[in-house]
Amino acid sequence: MRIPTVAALLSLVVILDGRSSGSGVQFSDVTQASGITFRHAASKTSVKFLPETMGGGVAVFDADGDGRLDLFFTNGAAIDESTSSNRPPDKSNPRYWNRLYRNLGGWKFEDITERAKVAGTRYDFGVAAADYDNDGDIDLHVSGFGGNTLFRNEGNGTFTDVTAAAGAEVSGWSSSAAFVDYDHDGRLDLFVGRYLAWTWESNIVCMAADGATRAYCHPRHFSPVSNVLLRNNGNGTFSDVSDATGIARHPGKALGVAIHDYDRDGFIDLFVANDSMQQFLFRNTGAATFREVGLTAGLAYDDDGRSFAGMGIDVEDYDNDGWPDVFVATLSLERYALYRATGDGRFEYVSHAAGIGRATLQHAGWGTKFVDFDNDGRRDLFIAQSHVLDTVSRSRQGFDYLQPPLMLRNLGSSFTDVSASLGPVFARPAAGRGAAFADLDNDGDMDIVVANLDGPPVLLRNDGGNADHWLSVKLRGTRSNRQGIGAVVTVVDDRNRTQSGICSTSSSYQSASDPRVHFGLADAAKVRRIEVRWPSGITQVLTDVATNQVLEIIESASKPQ
Amino acid sequence: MTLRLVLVVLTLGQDCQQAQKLARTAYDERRYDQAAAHFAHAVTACGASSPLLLALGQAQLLAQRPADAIAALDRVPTDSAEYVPALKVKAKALYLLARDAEAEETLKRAATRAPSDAEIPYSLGRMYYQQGRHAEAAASFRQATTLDPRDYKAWDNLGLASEALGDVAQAQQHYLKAISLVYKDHPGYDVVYANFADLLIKLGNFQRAFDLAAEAAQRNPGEPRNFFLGGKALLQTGRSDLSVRWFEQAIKLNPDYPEPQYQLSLAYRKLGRIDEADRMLKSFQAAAARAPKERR
Repeated sequence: MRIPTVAALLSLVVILDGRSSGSGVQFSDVTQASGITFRHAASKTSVKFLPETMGGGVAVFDADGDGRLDLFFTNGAAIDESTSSNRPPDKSNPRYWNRLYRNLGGWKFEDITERAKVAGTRYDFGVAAADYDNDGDIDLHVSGFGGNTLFRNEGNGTFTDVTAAAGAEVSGWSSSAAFVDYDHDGRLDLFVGRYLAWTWESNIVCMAADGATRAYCHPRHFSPVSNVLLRNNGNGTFSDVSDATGIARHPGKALGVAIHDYDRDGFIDLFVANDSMQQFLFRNTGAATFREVGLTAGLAYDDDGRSFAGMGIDVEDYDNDGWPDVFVATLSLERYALYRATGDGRFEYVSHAAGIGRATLQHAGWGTKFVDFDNDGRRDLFIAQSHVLDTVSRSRQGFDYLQPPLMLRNLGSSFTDVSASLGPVFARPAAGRGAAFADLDNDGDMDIVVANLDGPPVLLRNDGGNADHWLSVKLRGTRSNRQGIGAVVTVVDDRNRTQSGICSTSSSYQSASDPRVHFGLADAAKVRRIEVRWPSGITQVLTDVATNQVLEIIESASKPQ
Repeated sequence: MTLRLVLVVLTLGQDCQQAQKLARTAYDERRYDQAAAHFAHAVTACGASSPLLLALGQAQLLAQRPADAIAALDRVPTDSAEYVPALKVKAKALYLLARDAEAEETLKRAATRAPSDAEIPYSLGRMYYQQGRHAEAAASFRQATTLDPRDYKAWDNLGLASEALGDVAQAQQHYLKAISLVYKDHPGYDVVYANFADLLIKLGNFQRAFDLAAEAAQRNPGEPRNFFLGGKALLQTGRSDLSVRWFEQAIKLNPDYPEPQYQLSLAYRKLGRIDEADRMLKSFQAAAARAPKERR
């Protein structure tokens, strides 16, 4: 064995400077001038009911079909120390309503909640958005405590609660959800992640580390619950296929949900970020069933086999090798988890090697996405942050409840923290929870909306991210579901650089993003080849496409290859 | 009547000495249950002197009887020389009983009485660290190193606390300081080499991490963590076949240690030994299920 000398060890000291430039891009907080007056209301109590700290989500979607992306925010409800199953949360006061804002253009929004009839009735958390009935307008699923709501878009600016009529009722506490066509029949099914077995009556007294302050309880005090998969029957109704598909066999504590075809077998798989237990990867067998393979795929734990608090999640190919990778935002001291696909249906934990571990030791993250904010052709990582315990700084010196958002710039095989260079909002501590992503002003760069807990949301306009070239791919399915959700788009630019992305609205935390697949193309003047692998099995190829445009691709009538 | 009294006193005297001798022997041989029983007998036979009560408390603590230890230590008079040592042992007993606030208060009381005793801020630091109060832990360890600049355990733990606070550059400096103190003078101290190896693995410096883990393993071949870290570093450098032996040794030393089993399954898989990888994953799951959720 070689024994290092002290002198040799001295050479090991690494002075780390985690901050570097972010390509001149600035994110401007345009909330105040936008007309958005929504303020999330957690209705915090002295007894620290667990729902109070989970926050809400945000959906970016075109509610009225005018071509502009509108915003929907979920909200809590009035609760107090005496809230119980018999005295449930009260959402009647408008301050607790969910809110829908219509995009008027020019970063101006108008509250259309009442007219649209989407105020809700429960203490709500998550939102999923997609055209589940293939009628050309985007519907909403809202997750809540004690039930969920499926809002069908009537196409006239209003929504109808069709939960019961559609057989889409989900009991308990649901968090993130995903519209996904798991059986490839051209209709979007609905996967609903459920958090844990908690009731107003089962709330217990938990104390902070100082022994004197009451705190939110650790999820280990409550049992896991199974997730729910609802199959779209094609006639406006759903059937619960959780048992038949194997989903119900794996109780978890779901907070984040994402979809992707991780093994490129043509079938969409489901990723579930679980809180303080193993993470789930439901592999689609192609026979309308799922196998939970998180452990054997190397995704269940960190590199030592330890579980962590999985909260927000995204699945995309960050290293442009053609295989989707996985990011999970976690709690302080756990380090955010980055898993790189190894190309054989497995993943390796690369948080340390990629610099993520070093940059995120004391952070706690929720809403997140691989998003190429500077169009340099590499997907970066955005994370909305905040500790889960609002008492943490009182009991643990050096820990902050409110934390500014984080942007980790992709350098190829590693990431570096560029938050400080992106504008004052990245220095402003907040209780970030949900986050959704879209090019809200269609100027070629990705904007961000963050839903803060017990406070106003933040609209982050990307200024300067479009200095490099880009392409935004909008899909319209014909055999596949109308939005092409689940399709994988691969582009090869004129410099022979290849990127791929999934068409999905679901990832992050309790939020829904724009399904257009955005590619930053750096200095490429042209896209040489675009390949779309539709959920129907059809592969469609386009060649020689101009950059700097939103390109709509309609699914061809070709037979599946 | 007088003769009987003298005989009783003589018998008690012999009994007292015998009990103390038996207690010391059992203590030295790490038979703490028996040591505690003999010390308890000695207290009865010799009288409840402060040194005996302190020894009894120490033995009871090591025999995993913290409540009994606290009862014995509470009998140590506040004006005796053993009072501060008794407070230090009592704090450990309170911490084992998860009475953290009382343990902290006890140590602070000891610090007031013995402000130059480096062991007290060190113990406070350990407790803070375990509670995740890393800034307070770092301050306590720093105080310990100020009081005793050659306290290598304090430097080592200051490295751990700095690492937890995200200051890896400082952490490395503190580990190096600890290594400079133990390098020749404390050949049996392995922990700092393992801690530093762990950090370097996180920083991606796998070859150096392996060197440190190897040194730790040489210093303490009975510590499974040293072999786990060595194997982990080897696996990261692509030497999967070599890493297997290190993980196997860690598991042999502690079959209930889940982490090396997880890493060994990864190594087997990289080597194409899929059946063994699957078996090891199952073994890992069983070990993880058995592992305590919280260690004190």
